[in-house]
Amino acid sequence: MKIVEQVLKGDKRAAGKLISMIEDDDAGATEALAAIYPHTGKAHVVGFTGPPGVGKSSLINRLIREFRVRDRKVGVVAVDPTSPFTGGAVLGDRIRMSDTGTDPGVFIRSMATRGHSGGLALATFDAVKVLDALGIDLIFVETVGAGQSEIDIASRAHTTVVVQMPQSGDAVQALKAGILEIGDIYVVNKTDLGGADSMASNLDFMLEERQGWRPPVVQTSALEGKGIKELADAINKHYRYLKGGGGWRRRESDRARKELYESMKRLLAEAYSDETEGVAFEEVVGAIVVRKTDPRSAAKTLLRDLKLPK
Amino acid sequence: MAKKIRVLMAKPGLDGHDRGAKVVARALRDAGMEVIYTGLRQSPEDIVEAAIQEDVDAIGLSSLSGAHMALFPEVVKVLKKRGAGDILVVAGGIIPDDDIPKLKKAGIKAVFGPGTPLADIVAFFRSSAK
Amino acid sequence: MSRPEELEAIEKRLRRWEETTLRDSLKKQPESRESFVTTSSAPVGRLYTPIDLRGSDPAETLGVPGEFPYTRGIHPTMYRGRLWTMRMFAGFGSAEDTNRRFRYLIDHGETGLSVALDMPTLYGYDTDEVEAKGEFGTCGVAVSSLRDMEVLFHGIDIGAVSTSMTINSPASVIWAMYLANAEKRGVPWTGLRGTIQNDILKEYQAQKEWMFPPEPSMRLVVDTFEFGTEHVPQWNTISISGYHIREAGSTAVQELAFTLANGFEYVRWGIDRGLAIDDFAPRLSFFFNAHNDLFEEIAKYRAARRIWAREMRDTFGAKNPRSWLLRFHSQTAGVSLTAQQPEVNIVRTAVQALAAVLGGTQSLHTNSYDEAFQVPNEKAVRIALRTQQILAHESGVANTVDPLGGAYYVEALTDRMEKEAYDYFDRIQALGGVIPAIRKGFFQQEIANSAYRYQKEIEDKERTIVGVNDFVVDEPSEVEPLRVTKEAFERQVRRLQRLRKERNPKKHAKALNALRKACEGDANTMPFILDAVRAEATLGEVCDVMREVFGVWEEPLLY
Ligand SMILES: Nc1nc2c(ncn2[C@@H]2O[C@H](COP(=O)(O)OP(=O)(O)OP(=O)(O)O)[C@@H](O)[C@H]2O)c(=O)[nH]1
Ligand SMILES: [Mg+2]
Repeated sequence: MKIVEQVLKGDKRAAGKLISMIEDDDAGATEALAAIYPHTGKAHVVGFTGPPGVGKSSLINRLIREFRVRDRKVGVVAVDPTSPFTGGAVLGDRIRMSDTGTDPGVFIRSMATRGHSGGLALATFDAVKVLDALGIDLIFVETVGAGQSEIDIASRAHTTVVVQMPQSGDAVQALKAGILEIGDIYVVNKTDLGGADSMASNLDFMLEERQGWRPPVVQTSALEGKGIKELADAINKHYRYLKGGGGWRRRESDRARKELYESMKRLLAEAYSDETEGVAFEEVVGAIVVRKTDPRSAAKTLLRDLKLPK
Repeated sequence: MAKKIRVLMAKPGLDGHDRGAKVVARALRDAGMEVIYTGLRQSPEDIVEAAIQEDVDAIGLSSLSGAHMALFPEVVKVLKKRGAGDILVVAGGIIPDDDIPKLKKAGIKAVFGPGTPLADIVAFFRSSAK
Repeated sequence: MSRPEELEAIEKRLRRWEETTLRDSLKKQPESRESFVTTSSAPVGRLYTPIDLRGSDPAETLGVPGEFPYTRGIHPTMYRGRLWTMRMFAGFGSAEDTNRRFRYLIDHGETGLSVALDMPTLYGYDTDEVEAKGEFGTCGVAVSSLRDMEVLFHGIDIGAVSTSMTINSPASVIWAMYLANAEKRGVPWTGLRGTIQNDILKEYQAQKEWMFPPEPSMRLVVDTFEFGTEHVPQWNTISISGYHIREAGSTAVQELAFTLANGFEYVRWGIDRGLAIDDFAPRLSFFFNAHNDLFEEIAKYRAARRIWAREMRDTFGAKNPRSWLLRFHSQTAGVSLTAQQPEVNIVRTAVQALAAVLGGTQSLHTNSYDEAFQVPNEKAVRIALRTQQILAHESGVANTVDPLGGAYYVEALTDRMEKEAYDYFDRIQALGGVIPAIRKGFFQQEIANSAYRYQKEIEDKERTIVGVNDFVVDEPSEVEPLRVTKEAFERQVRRLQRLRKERNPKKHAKALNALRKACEGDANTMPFILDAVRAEATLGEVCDVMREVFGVWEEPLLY
């Protein structure tokens, strides 16, 4: 496909368009994704999560500059929520990342969740692949800063950065248990507001080593540009750890597994939303309701006879 | 999934009067579109770069300071240079009647002056961004 | 305050009226709408009576004019003593162009000058910098150096005229140029009268013309307070402005509350610097919008005076009555002007100007009918000025003090807006104060919400705007546009280039270095800025030094 060739040549316009095709679930999207897949897997994917307004976008903005100085090509996929009422969205992360302007080594894409839960859009990691194929070395994924997004990003990124800001000791104690297990790097941002030291040492106290990696706690002020080098170093260090100790392979398998399941689920959902199959499906639903069959047996039968959409 | 209309709202030049741009951004969102607002003081090059990465269907430019003749046509020019001439450019703000034909000639598809109903603006984006 | 028996009698009478006369009337002729609201979408009752003022003591809330709490006005005689200052905002193109306009206005009876500066100047850029591309002279006059300032006031008696300059982030630099110009002409600073807007807080909230983050910006503002108190005692070193908050889409109450909250913030910073409140508070002035809703606007001004007086006396402990006075300039609402049937704007402006006068303004700018498009042409400006003159000399409204005082509706509205302003003060407090609330985007969000609601009301025809969504005619507007000439631009650039060549480079570098050190430390920056402009450093050069030391501000983004 022409668009794939263009992307592989580093054409930003084509990359932008391909991401839209994927988002809109356009006809050629599956084929194009298949064509670029062999060219992916090189980029280091770093997820950013943390409550709304802690400074994720501002930090990424600073990191872009820092990694550009280190001569890495940097991409960002930043996710914001779609309004459930109107289906529209105002995507606001980009405005915080506009420092690099027209730098050819930077690609930033804003993305709305379009009803997908978990703080990511369905297309987020396909977009990551496009950027990977475009030749980007380092890709930041910013999740919607709310609720359950942490787990989702942690199972898909190579490195997960959890961003917090200074809070009281009690609040740190009350941090959701989940948060302490998913981060590879913890950031206490907004140190300029004070109270960061105690927050950081509290956090540090609660974190434990996992598989030979002890998550560091980095203090930053995105506002003043402090601690950015340290954060960049920590990200690189984690990359070397992954590559060195085999963690990379494990994470890639985790991701592949997850994507495979998801693709299967999606295919199934699509298969049964198809007109004829949909009717058959509803018939089985009826049969289950009147106790002619049971859900498990019916599932087996359905899957045995399934005709997948092209 | 149906195709979503994506729009970049930008304020080239220096003026900070973003009331209009923000009201339009909200109206487009409420009409189900995805709006990327690039913030204040963007150069034409910045705007085009963002439009390409975001693959928007249209760019809305707003200026109230009178710098539109110097900046708006430049956006169209840079778009073409970057092979993105198919992205629609529309303008809003305080623009004297005399300038409208000149802007149109320079490739600006529509000019929405003060008092244009939001519904008209939404309808325009909807019909032409296909 | 009516006595309880009287109120009871009135209530009884009203109830009877509702059950008889009113009910019969509504049966025959129902009201045209279910509810009535002000321009700010605040509910308006059918009829106001003493019942609505129950519990408020006019001796206390109104008092008498010229005395605490100044609800009825800051002077005992108001316009019977002296009319308000008719001050028309002007500026476009080069200093030469604007100088000509100033002289025209003075010839036509204007009593104070008001300088509009162009966008690059407002952001601290010189005309020939890349950031300034396309923006020269379109929204005001370009002042990039002391030489521009000299041309701007050439032939104008700056010892006699009062000059207001709408400049915020780089206010201290532009003011320094004005002072240096006076110095060169031998006019003593102690005799200079005027105002610099210098209100950076509302920039973060509404107008978005800033350079530095809030803290260094506030430091620069307080530097001017301190310097002015000592050296330029008749100058208003700030004009705390609700105008732009309203233009950005706020309601009247938000304008009132945010402006006063900003005012208190400046007072706090002044006190923290160690200034005596009664030394600087008398030089604080205000600037409000005059929008469409006559009574709501009048109530807003009256509530503002009362709140300010009370807080200054009781919360901040100011002893000098001059510190309690809220003196304000007003301008009719630019946003209310329509591009459709522009001549009709003359009428709108007249009604808005009437509100400002009935509300006791100290000075007034009336917009020209073509301002929805451009910097106004001469004829349009004259009509706008004539509008004020008609109010002053023909309408009779200036003949008595606070003519609407005691009107049940106006008093009830004044009380309600006062209360709602205090509700906002509480919310701002809860967010940690004005600057933290700016960082959290509170004001920006509140304003954007109101702006959107207002626009929706127009779209949905819940609100009628003549010529826009009703009473529409299809005709091309015939407004003569005013263009900035290429020659003006080139002249300006040449002057700048000449200045850079002719000035003494050693003196120039030394002054800028000293300024940088001052910015890095905590000395008052004004003397250093003055030295820099005396050494003919340009606006852009001075601001670059400050940008390097102070950093730049990016706003929190919200919708
Ligand atoms: N004081 C201070 N403010 C900061 C810092 N970093 C970011 N901010 C401010 O915090 C606000 C939110 O920053 P963003 O970078 O948009 O935060 P975010 O986490 O991406 O927010 P969402 O995308 O909305 O979840 C902005 O006003 C920033 O200017 C910091 O280090 N110190
Ligand atoms: Mg963000």
